[in-house]
Amino acid sequence: MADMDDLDILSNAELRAKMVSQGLPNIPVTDSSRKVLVKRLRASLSGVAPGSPSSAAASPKKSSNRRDTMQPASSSVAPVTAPKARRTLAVATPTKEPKEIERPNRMAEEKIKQPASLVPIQTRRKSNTNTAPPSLEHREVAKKPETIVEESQPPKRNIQHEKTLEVNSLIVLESDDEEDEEMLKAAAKAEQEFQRSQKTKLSTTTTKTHEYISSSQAVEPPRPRQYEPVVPSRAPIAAPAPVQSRAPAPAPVTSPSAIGTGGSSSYDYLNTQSGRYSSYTSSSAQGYGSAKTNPSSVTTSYRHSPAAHLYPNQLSDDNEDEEEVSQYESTFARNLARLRAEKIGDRSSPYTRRTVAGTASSNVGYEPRARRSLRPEGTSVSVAFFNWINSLDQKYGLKSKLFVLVVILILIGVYNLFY
Amino acid sequence: MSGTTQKYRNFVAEPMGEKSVTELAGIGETLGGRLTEAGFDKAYTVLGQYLVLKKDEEIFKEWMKEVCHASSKQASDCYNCLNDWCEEFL
Repeated sequence: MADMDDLDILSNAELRAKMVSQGLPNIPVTDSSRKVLVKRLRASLSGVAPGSPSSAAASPKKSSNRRDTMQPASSSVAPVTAPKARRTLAVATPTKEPKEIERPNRMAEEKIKQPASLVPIQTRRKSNTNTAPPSLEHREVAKKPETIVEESQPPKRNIQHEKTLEVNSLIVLESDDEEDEEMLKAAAKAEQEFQRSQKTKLSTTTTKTHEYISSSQAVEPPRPRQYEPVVPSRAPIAAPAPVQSRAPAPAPVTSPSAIGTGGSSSYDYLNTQSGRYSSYTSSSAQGYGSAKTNPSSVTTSYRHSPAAHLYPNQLSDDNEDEEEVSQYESTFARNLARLRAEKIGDRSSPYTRRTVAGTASSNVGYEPRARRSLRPEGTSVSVAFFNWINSLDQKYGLKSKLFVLVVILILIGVYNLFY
Repeated sequence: MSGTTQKYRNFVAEPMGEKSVTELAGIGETLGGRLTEAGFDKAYTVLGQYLVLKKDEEIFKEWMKEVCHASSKQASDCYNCLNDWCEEFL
């Protein structure tokens, strides 16, 4: 107990020396930390058993444990929170302009801090752009070297993307209204969001915010692949097989394309004033418009407008998507109904003729695919006829009725014969 | 770690700037008041203490209990909050 008094009297420096000599961590003794440290020192002095081993052994152990549990926990959290982040973004996009005005001070602060390290930068940027876009030129300058270095996996898409970015930024300088600039900032923000997400996909960081992104990113890669099959099924000459297979689960398949068009229309809004996204909107809008008239142009335009457009859009819009999905579904349903009707009965409908013509002249890349998938189902007339009979039978119980009818006819015939 | 609170996520999501000490996870009005009385009115002062204690979990929690009579849970919430913030931004 004499020790206690001694410790309380000791100066900070002496206390620290004593702690080091006791094998305790070399922690600076300040007025605020003194009390705790004295306690610790006292424990280690009085009996080695209760204080020091438990603390010395436990603290590193616990910290390592905690760190171990951190990563699984964060990864498990990621899928849950991913949609949430998206939602907040969607909310944030319409209210960009006022926030932009509010935020610049903060943006400036954070920009200064950015060079600290890579990981924090990205996460911080993400949190920024959820609410407001910063001044663009700085960011682009800061970012471009990074993207060039890092992006090796999806190079084609990003290069395209950056090119368009540069070109558009030139346009920005020419068409120079204050409103326009704000709109452009908003638009470029979406672009950068996309770039950032691409980047974070590549960087192997373990922080939570990154994993949100990467989890949402992980969903995206299949899009381009899914995208192509959607087109034939969407076109009026769609094969029955893809349509039917898609019918049970229309939402996931149609959503990417729906998102694409929905997003482009959201860009339309920006475009009306800025003219910046003319390339995007024109291409995708044309594709969409011509989708109704000419199926072949659908495929080309959709294939050329890559997922690069879609990623930012997908983050920006939710409401329009649903409408689009419903539209898609309705076309699906229409096509499906038409196909079924055609298969069963009237071969003379213009629609049938068109499919025949399509098979005769191999026009576009996707049409053979449609034909091929069409063939196994409707190869021969007899098969179709039997299918039709079967379906009718299932629906109305034709067989029994026909049987009764035939028996009656035979009876009548026999009656007529004998009398 | 079985899930995180909204407060924790809010704090770890961005630089703490001039946030008050009550923005820290595990620190409410009561503990915030005590900490403010002890001179720790901003989150960064607590961060400073955390750093002075060399990020030592044990000692920091002990300090928390000492300075504002935090419970073990409150102390460990605060520690996790600061520790993860540091992993992100320091």
